[in-house]
Amino acid sequence: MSDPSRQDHEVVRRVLGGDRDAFAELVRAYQTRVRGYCRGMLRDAAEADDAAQEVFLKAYQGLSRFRGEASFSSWLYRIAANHCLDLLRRRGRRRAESLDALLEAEGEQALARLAPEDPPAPAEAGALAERLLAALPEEHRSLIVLREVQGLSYEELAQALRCSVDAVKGRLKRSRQILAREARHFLGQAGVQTGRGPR
Amino acid sequence: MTHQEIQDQLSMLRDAELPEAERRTLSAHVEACAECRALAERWRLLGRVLTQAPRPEADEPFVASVMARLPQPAVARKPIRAPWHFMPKLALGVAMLSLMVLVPRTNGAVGTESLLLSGLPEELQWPFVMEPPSAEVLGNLEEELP
Repeated sequence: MSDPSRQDHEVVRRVLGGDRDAFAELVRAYQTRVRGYCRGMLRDAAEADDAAQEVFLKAYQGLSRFRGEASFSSWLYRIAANHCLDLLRRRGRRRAESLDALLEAEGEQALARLAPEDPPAPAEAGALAERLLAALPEEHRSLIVLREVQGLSYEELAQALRCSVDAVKGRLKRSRQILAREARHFLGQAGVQTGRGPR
Repeated sequence: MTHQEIQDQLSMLRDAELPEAERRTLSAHVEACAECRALAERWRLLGRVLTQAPRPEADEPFVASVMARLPQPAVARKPIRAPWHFMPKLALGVAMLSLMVLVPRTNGAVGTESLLLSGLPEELQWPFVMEPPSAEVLGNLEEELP
């Protein structure tokens, strides 16, 4: 099987050579990842799809600046991250909802559904994941979505965020501490200790 | 590693990139410590919940929407001109530079030489581009000068 990264570079070369329709191959290949990332960041499905369209448009318009040093997917995630963070900053919707609010609204039933011995049904887990992500500050949410939801490796994260792998480890640790703090009811008291800032 | 340091690292236990030595250390501690074992289990469940965040399915109308919005024409790169494209201009430049440097120098050198050497004895009238006079000639000149 041929290397997907090389295939992407070949498609990029064709688009830059004037084959506009070849760009559809890239959209087709990466639409679920980009839309999934935008959904994790913005939560609203329709708004996320609009954002994902903008991401692909920006990618098309900036395709001549793709130098192939990073993988195409990392480059695309970088555009998506910048776009979603811009949208969220403009929107000014910071930490609109916390897990505390979820617990207040749904009471102990929410915790009971999440007990380790009784894993949540996928639909419930999906809804909880969205709420949990929405409770995180945008920058940390972006990193958690890329890592925990999209499954990027340290190396891919470093490419997408334009930083070193060591920096990725540090930022991921910090984001997880904040995740633990936001999910303290989920993680229990030990999680509260873990989540108390960098040591 | 202290108990607290272990707890700080527990979220990494699911990371494939965690070095094997660190994984063994964490796993050994988790085996022996009920509190850390419970926390590791909660991290595992939390990770599992996050992986089930909604994932859009492939959607061809989405692809069509993006393609319909692409600007026309495509972002084709400006063609790179072959290096020999510049050759006529380069040749013209070199020719003009040569004219500017050589022509005034040739004419000026003749006029200046004639003017400067006209009043000197014949043996001292050497052109600037030729060999200078010998030491003997120069010695004689020194004696002749007042």
